[in-house]
Amino acid sequence: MSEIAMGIDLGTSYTCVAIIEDGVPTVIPNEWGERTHASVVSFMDDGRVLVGNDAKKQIITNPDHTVYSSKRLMGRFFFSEEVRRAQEMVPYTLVEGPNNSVRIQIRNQTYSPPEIAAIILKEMRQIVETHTGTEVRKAVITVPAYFNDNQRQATKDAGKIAGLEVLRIINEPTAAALTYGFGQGYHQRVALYDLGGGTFDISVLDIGDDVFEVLSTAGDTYLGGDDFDDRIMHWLADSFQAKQGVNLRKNKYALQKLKEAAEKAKIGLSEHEVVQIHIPLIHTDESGYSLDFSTTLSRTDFNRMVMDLVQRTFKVCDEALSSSQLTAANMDCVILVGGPTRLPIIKSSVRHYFQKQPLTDVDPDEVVGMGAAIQAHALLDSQQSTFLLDVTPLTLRLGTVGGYSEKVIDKNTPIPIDRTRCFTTAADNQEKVKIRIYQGESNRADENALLGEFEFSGFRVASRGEVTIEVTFEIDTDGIVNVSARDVETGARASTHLNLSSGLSEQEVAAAHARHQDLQIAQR
Amino acid sequence: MPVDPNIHPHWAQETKELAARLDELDYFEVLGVAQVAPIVEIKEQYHSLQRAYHPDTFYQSPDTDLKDAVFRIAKRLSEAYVVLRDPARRARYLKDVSGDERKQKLRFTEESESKVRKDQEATQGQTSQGRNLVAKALKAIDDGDLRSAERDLKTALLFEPKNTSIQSRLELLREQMKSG
Repeated sequence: MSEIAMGIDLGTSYTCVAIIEDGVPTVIPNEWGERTHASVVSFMDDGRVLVGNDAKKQIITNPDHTVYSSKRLMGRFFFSEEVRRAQEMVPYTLVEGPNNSVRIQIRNQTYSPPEIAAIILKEMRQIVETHTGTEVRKAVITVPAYFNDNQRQATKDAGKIAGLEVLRIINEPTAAALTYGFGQGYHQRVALYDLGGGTFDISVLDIGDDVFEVLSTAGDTYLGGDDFDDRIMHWLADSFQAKQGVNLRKNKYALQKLKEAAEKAKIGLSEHEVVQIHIPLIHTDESGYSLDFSTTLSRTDFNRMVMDLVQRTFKVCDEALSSSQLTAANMDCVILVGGPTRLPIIKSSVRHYFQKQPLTDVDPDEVVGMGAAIQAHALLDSQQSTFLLDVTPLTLRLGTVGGYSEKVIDKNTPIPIDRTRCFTTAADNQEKVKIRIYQGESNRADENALLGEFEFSGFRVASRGEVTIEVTFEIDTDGIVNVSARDVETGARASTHLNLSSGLSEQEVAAAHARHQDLQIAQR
Repeated sequence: MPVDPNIHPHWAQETKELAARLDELDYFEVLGVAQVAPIVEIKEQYHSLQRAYHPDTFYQSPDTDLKDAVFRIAKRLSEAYVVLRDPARRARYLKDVSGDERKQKLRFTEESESKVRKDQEATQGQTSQGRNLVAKALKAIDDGDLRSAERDLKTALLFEPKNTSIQSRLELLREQMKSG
């Protein structure tokens, strides 16, 4: 049997794994027949670790030690707006790690977001190994197209911690396009509307016989199905307060029950006009009397609650289209990706915006994982038949004086690519040159995501202005940024040191890998 | 140095030589197109060269020099494509490589980039009326109302008669209306 490489769609809410079987991309279910797995890790009191749909059941009974939606923390600095928002929502505890990074506190242990992701990846590997009966070590992992370098790097680190060789990081909408375009001889201009659990992406592609060229992409890494659930959850909390005078938001346990009911109601509304919501024993008053909570939610009311979220996705679509100088009418077809696109409000809004019936031939929960499997398989086979030409989603910037920044590589530039910039020393006998690089669309440096501060040294020491250092900024096929420098005159490579970064050092990744080898994922 | 049994040694050698010579080539030479080549041809050629040199194809190759070479070529192909597919950048670049400083300007410079940006600012929506009307026209196109879109673009041209981007949008729209 030839070597197997997995495709893994590591989602905010759910994770899915696929491989090529008999030439066909196939989602691999676990032993219980589940094809998607909640991206949840629960650390039990007895030391067992649960992953997936089992772990999700622990959110209510073991809220402090059950980690969900941790993808939202990947590659973020502790002081960022995103982490502050997550802190308000999740019952588990976030603490500051080294270099302003984020850690999740579980009892007396802390875990980085890539470590949590690694536990989920290990479970996926286990599922495939059980299914195929062979060892699997290689994987392609997908990320939202709009993920920045820090977030991509964190995803790659998660793979290494899990003991995987990460063949490639690919963008979720691009992976979905691979699934649709696979062997069908499409010659089309396609828009992929990808609304996941936590993120939204839109990509516009030209698909030829064998070339998948991304023309532009745009996204919002903080907009997804989770936000729709939250709207219902807050509405439920408000209605309960109006009826019973009790604020359930103060009770973590009750809030999780509301969230669970909200997700269920949302899914129900994809099929029904009205859903019944019944939550038993949501509140116990001072005299020990327990209250149930029953109500109904109609599709119309739900649509009103989330209208602004839906509109936000189309602002992002406008951005992607204008960036490639196209209009919605130029698209030959529109493909829906991600579980939340099952909602009738999304389907009808997309149809209205693009003026055509969106395609949903492949299950929107599975289409990304299948595409990742196609790419993983292609990388093992030099006779591969498809070529991905992707773009960088964000402008790469260089920090300049006075808190400003300037563009180095524009967003939507095809990758791989590199650019060089020259710097001269500003002082006599200068030994070091420091630069800060960012990704984002603002001229103000601090309004962009900081990728890191690089320090170059080891070049000739001379009077100021005499030494010119050429810095090369490279974005590779994973969308990951590499920076290197050399002395122009001598051609000698300067040594590069990364001072500030949200990520893990190589040593930290290795240490985490060693620690996690002993970690046993509990079986049912 | 391990060689890749799946790749013809002559081709591998040529590829490495090409990678070493990249800094002596202009973008037209990199893509192998004439200076007057239409955009469709640029795109086709970019695709066909990416097919040949795409780093994914060499992912498993034991020949690391060859892997480096195709990666360098792939990067330069993207760079050339970005400049040549964009009419404003392409015009500036053609000037750059036809002049005395050709050798210094084989790769599109920051200076040229900023000149292009200034030119673009000058041609795209100098007036708020023009910008609003173009936005309205785009919305009308999305709604399938091509007649209103045509009217809005024509009015926009009254405010900005020299705006070539509005002119070309209007031409495109008229073609669309004709074809049905």
